[in-house]
Amino acid sequence: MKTNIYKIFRAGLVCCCFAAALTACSDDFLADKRPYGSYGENDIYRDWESVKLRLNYVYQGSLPYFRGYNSNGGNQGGNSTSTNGPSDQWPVGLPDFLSTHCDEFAGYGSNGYGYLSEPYKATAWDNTNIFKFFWTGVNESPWKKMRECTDVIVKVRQYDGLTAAQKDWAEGQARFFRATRYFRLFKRFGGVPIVRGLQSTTLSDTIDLRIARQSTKDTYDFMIEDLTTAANLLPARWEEETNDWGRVTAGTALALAGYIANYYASPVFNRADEADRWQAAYELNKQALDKLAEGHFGLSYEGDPGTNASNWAKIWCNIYGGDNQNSEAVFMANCNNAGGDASDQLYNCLEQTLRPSNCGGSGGVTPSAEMVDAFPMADGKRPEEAHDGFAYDKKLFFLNRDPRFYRTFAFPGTEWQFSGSIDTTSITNWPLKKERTGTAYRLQQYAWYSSSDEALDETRSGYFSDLMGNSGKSIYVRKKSQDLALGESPMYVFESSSGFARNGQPLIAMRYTEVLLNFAEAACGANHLNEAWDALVKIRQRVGYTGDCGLDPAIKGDRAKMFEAILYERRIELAYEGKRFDDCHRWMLFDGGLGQSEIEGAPSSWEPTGWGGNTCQYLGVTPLNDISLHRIEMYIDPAVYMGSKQPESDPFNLATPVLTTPKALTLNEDFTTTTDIETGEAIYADTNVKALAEFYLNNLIRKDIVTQRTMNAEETDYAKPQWDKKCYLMGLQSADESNNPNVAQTIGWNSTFGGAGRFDPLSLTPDNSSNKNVNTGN
Amino acid sequence: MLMAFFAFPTLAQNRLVKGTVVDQNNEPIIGATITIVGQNQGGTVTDLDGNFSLQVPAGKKIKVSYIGCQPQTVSKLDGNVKIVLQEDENTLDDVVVVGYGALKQKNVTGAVEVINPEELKDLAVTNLSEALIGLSPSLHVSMPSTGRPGENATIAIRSARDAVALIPEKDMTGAAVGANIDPRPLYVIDDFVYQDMDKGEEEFNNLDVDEVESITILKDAEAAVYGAYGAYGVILVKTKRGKAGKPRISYQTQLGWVDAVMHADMLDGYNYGRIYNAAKVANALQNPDKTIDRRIDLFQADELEAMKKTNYNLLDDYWKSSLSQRHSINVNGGNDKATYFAGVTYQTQDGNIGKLDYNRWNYRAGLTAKINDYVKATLSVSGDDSKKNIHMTSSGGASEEDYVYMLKNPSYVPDNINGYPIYHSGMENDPAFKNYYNYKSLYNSINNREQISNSMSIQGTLEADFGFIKPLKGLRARLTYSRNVGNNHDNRIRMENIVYRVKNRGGSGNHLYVTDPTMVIDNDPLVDYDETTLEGFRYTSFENLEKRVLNDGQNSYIQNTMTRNTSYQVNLMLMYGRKFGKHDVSGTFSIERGENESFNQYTEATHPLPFTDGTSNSLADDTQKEATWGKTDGGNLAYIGRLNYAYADKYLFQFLVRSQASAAKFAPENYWGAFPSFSAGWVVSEEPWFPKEKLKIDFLKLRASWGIMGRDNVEAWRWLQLYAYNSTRSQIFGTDITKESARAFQLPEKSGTNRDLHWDKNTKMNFGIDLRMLDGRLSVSFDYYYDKQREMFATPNANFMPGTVGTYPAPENYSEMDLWGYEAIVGWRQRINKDMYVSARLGFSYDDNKVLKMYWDTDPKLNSMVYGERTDRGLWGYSCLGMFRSYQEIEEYFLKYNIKSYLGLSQDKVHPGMLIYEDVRGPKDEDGNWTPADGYVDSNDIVQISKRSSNPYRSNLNLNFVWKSFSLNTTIQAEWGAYTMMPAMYKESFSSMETTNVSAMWNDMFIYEDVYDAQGRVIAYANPNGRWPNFGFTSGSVNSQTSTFWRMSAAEILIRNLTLAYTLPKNICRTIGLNAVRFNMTIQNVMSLYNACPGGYWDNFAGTYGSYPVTRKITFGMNVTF
Repeated sequence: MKTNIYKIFRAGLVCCCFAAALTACSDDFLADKRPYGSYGENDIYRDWESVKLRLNYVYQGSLPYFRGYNSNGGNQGGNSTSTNGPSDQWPVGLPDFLSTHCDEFAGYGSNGYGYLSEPYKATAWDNTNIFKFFWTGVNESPWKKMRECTDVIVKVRQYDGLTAAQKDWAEGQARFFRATRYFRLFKRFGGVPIVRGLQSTTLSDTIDLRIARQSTKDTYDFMIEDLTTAANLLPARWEEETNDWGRVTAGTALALAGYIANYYASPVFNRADEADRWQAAYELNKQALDKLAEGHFGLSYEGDPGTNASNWAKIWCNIYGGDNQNSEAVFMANCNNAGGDASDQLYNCLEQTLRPSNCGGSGGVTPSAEMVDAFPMADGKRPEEAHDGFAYDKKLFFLNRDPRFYRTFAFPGTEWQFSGSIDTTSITNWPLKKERTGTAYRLQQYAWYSSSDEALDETRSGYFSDLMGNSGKSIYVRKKSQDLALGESPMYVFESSSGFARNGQPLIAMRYTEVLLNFAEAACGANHLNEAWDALVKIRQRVGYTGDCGLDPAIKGDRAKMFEAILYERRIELAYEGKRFDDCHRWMLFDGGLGQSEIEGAPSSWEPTGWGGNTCQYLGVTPLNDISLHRIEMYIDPAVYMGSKQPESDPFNLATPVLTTPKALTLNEDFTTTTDIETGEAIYADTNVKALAEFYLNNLIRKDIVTQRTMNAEETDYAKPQWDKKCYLMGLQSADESNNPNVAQTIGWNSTFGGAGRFDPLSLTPDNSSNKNVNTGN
Repeated sequence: MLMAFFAFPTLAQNRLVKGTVVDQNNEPIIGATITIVGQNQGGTVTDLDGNFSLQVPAGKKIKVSYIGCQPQTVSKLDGNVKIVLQEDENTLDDVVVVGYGALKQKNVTGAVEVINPEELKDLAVTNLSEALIGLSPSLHVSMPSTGRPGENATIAIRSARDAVALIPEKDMTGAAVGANIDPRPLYVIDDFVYQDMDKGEEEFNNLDVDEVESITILKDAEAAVYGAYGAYGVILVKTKRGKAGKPRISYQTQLGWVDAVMHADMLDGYNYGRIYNAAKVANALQNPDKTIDRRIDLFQADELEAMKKTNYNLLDDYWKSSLSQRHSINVNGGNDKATYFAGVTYQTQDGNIGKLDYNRWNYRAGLTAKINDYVKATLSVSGDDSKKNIHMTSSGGASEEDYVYMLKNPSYVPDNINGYPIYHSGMENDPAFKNYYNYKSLYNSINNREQISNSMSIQGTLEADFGFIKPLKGLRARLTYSRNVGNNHDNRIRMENIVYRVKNRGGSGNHLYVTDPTMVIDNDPLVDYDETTLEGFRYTSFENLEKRVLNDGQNSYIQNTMTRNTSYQVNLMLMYGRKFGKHDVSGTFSIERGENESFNQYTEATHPLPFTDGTSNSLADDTQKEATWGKTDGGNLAYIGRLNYAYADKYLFQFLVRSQASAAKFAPENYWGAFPSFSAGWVVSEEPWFPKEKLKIDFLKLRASWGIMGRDNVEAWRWLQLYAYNSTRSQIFGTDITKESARAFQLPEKSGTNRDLHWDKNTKMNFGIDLRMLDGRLSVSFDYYYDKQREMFATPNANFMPGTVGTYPAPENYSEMDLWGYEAIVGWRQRINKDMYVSARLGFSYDDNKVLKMYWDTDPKLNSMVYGERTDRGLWGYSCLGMFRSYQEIEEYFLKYNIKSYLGLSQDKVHPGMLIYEDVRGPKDEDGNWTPADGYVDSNDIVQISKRSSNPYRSNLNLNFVWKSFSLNTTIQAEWGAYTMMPAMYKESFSSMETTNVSAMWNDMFIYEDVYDAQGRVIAYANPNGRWPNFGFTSGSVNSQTSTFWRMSAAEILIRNLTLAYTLPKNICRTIGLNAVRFNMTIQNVMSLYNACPGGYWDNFAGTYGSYPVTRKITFGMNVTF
């Protein structure tokens, strides 16, 4: 009996051990371990919801942005001036450091940098101090954002779970954004390394990872391939717009492709004016227009211009209003005005940036005097041309102007309503304490001086009324501002403590009008001048012009003049939308492209051989290098009033006011005048306009203040800025070369490995061997 | 002979044997084990009087054994047998616990060191690691970063610490990634392998000294049975188990006082003002544009006079010696069928400042039952439960702010006036002056941090002996299951502090924190002053105080963090051990499987009500709550093999292997790693030809080991591409303008992945000699080791990676280094006479290493790591030629060496009171060679001012002296061979002197000329012979550069512990009904015998200058056994 028990026990023990050993031996349980909080690609790419979250990051990483993340305005993207910052932002129409090289804003390189050469700038640009467009450290670099796109492109195809359409949509959007990032590099460098797949991340593979620069043509082809592929994958319009409005469409992809093609056909890359590039651009832009039409995109408010282009101004006052109203928004970045946690907020600081500091704004944007004076007159002709019945008066710049003028600039004596009010008790950090109601907000900022000598000094500013003091200005940029008088509900939530920061206005990065202008330019380049003419007329008619819209019919027979008319229309229609610098860059408007072959190492083919050898001459425009920029100040004639620089001396607010502010205009007035043939006096169509004009005439003096001086302290003259001509084709920063010794430096720039760069972005077969390999024999 | 004959008739039967076991002093031995030779059954233990009785089959002998005594076999079993056990001074037959087995000391072939827990028992430590200081030359015990109770010390074995330079993977900020990649040893407690290094260290530190039966340190390839985790050595702990015998109860108590070894000597009120003046004037010399206002910017003569009396040392007020207590009670007993052990320890210590207190409970109970002759089961439960309360400092961290504030408070500034905490508002009494800490205010606040942790382990073992099947004799199987559950809570309350600013200050320069003594509010109950002396102007009226709220820019908050860890380990072991003639074979095979899981939860709420108790019900509204939670898990599977073979105890061989899989760290195809090791020993003294007698050598063994280990100390999941939530904003789509920003999945920041990551390779070699001679009095052991670490994990700097890759590089198996060193331990023990016994153990070690492969700096600096050289590149700094004491000297120096720039300063910016450095070389030329001295004294001129920055030579001496019932033990520790910089006091910046006091060493600061106040009175006399440079010069940081001027020896000789114990004679014990009574007095951190710091203003022994000091503990203990 005892033995039996033992036997059973022993057998049981052995069985137990055996069972335990069996279960213990399998390492399957190890594979069940997981990195909690992170997810693998087979989690992410099987589900449409998570793929959309993945796409969210693709958008977040590469969308042009103009957002303030915190209530005080915070990060206003596209504005970075840091040498380490992301300098390749999509321009959004602010005076960021590239845009300050064009003529929209008062002051070249107002951030103290800019691609200007001596004597304007003390040290010449080289590969050690150049901005980091190419690589700015791992997280900020464009390559990181492109890796995110490529990751989606590659992996969304590797997993089941999505419908074919969903896979297409994901890939299409990722390809679009990869192209936007390449485009930003392309604009600066021409040819760059082309990374089609996901590169290995181990350093042992470094040799293979060191991809050389490809030709500009190859880079161009790669972007066009991505974008045309995307266009085939994406819908022309998203079906569920309540959830998908803001996503890029097939039309967006083709529109960008068209713009890139224009860039590639433009003088900066097309020195010989090769016709086939224009032809390619023409075709792409035509496809873009067709695809956009298919998606019901078009000119907003066509045939309904409103008063003084009031409807045109509404383009920026809606997130979405159905087919007609937002048919302009080809490529946009949505924002919101949600409260709650910081992570829920996605604000657009545009409204706050534009508004003066006495109503909750951060101070406004100053246009150049040259821009104010460039807008057409009411007859569609340019100010310097002859006009029937009136002449352009620089002092009374607001009379008889293009309708878009009134919606682009804000000037003293006008209303600029907003929703909300400021009470002084809640003002904590605004310097100017005065209760203001948004609906009663008037721009009445006039400067005064304490002496006439001071007033005559073209470098000094006056002291401004309406409690603006030293931070006042006469003319503000008002384009894209949500003027309450336009009758649209504001997209911002005005808060006394943070002003307009909580603004949900979307940022429209590419409008249908631009695509139409791109098409016009490509059509012009490809010698379809009538199609270009039609596009220009269409654009002008939309804001209220009729007939030839003031355009000279002669340009229908002159390619150069048509180009010029298109560029002019871009400058006006697309003012302050971040387009002007690129136009100046691609058309080499700083110097007409002269002296390109003098750049060290440059072949003679760098000198423009097309365009008559000088694009500025070809177009008949003044090179920007010859233009000194100013800003306008309207100050009270010292003969009328002088006073010390303090609020108490405000001539409108003295115990016995010296002056009274004129009645502010609503902008719905008729600003036209005619000249009485007999007396030579102006006949005003509107009495209020007349009153304001007379106030200007009787009391104010226009002063164009010089806004830049040489960086060289010994120079006392105001030098005209000189664009550093090698900056048309940018060089690599030293770190770009050192972490990838196979990328070749651009001609005209020094290599960090010694010697001069030899990569020619204008060549179809550039020498892309790096200086390191050449110099060290590796 | 006669007795044997007499006994003959009873041969075939059992008979009752009675006897007494005594020691050499004729004291009865309690609990000695009596077994019958050749029989598994039967046996007993001696009782309180050393008596036993046992049924012994005829013809059988009995064996009597007792720990620390030579076992004795007795065959004469008639009458009342008296057995005198001899104290065993030869521990060679002692069994040493090694990984997955045990070996006789003399059969050990690896570098294995045993710590005798007897040496720890008198130490009052709140963490066990600290008790190991000075016990072994190969243990590097780092004291806790602060001397506050409940902080943990850490241990590194051999040169593991040197590998830090290369091993831990660094993230982009340079911080080590992951907690378990430090070169810490593996802790194995009762066979439970703590793969979570943090957890293992915590569990080890939480063990009570009284629970420990043995501690073994595996230093070489012997640790290969633990594979990856053993690469930095293993610390094996066995806890106490029951022993057969009558129940024995022992009670131990300790009562200790804890106080600082030393506080830094700081300037007194008057000298603070004087030195401030002299430094301020020097500082102003550097900025000629900024003139100083002699009234506002300097202490005036009358104020200095007053400051002689206003000398507040806050440490005097707030620092107190703290009290520690420990009570431990153990029960132990059983019979041949079952034994048990149970013990509970309670330990508590309060803090030297503030409301700090720490207490811990430990408990452990175990039962071993013999189910029958062949099956045995054990079950044990153990755990600890501790709680620590500390005062949250104003910035919310566990920083040293409170101590530093008290130490560095400028002596003339009171910390409170009439009980109102004072806000220190600088020389100019600027209301906007930076917020500054006030201890009084903090002390009055309800800021608190409570850390509660508890952990419980359950272990069950079933062991079967297959001895009943003849062919399987010697085979045993064991199944062990262990489970460990731990919880940690960390609750914090952090509120704003209320302080008061003195609106109008006294003195002709308005610098004193007093106004008019007559403004005292007589009825103020808080006023505490001596009316006759007015105790140095301590008074101001309440009207002169302005209330302020300090928040350090942080919201007030309450916080709660909870972590729960669970882990289990199953071992299935087959063990075989049998002797065939002279062949002694033993082996173990085990399958080990473990899993662990950790869950954490964090909640925070800001702006609690001022009377918050830390619960969520003390919130005014719920909108500011935040909660996050997460989880981690891990697991491992291993096959372990161990084979030992000994021939005639002379030729010893050992083979160990572990094959192990690691999830998370590596891709499935790289899960498995195999780690073999071989070792052999040759007991020369056993050879017949060996002239044992002639050389007086009892034992001589040569041994060698070789093994490969691997590690997985790389961040988990770097082999797999993962996606993480982007926690900030992302894009929104749709037409609703109020829609909240959605979340997004992105590639995580460190998205570089490397699927090829695999176990690194660490080849360990060890050669050792063990020698015993002169009848065991002298013992010597020597070990030399050489580690070749290959394929070490390294993550390159992102700047190496081509930018087009678009992410950070992944870690790779890349770096290589060799580490080597040696240790020697010499022991001497001698019984001088019946009453006197002396033993000494001297240990010595040396470590070195060289780097063979790493991601070298692309632009190597002078002190960058170099191929073939050690990781410790020594100290680099300027070569100091002295101090400028006059402008003429400056002139001459600039002329002589043609100096163009002196640390960025032109000659007119250089002043007497600055140190003189040598211009050694110019920048590198185009070929990368250094150019000769160029007249620019700059970072190109640093020289190696010491070959080592940490001490390579270490030594420890343990002395034990016994006289009658008294014993004296001491541990002395020394290390040397490197230089260090003077403690940070020379780095003190003048810019902070306005708010902080500085070391008293500055009393002898160089002052070029007399300094006058606004009224032309001297407020600091010239001190042209001052020893220290004028630290007011901050431009170019001339004086605070690392240089030979501030260099001092890093050597230290410390008496770590000293214990005096008295054991009550047994006969006295018995008369009072006790078994044994022992008293002891122990001092820990006794004293430093060598202080290299000039002037003795500080001693490294006391910790880091300017932070919480190392404490000295004096403990009285009593141990009673019933």
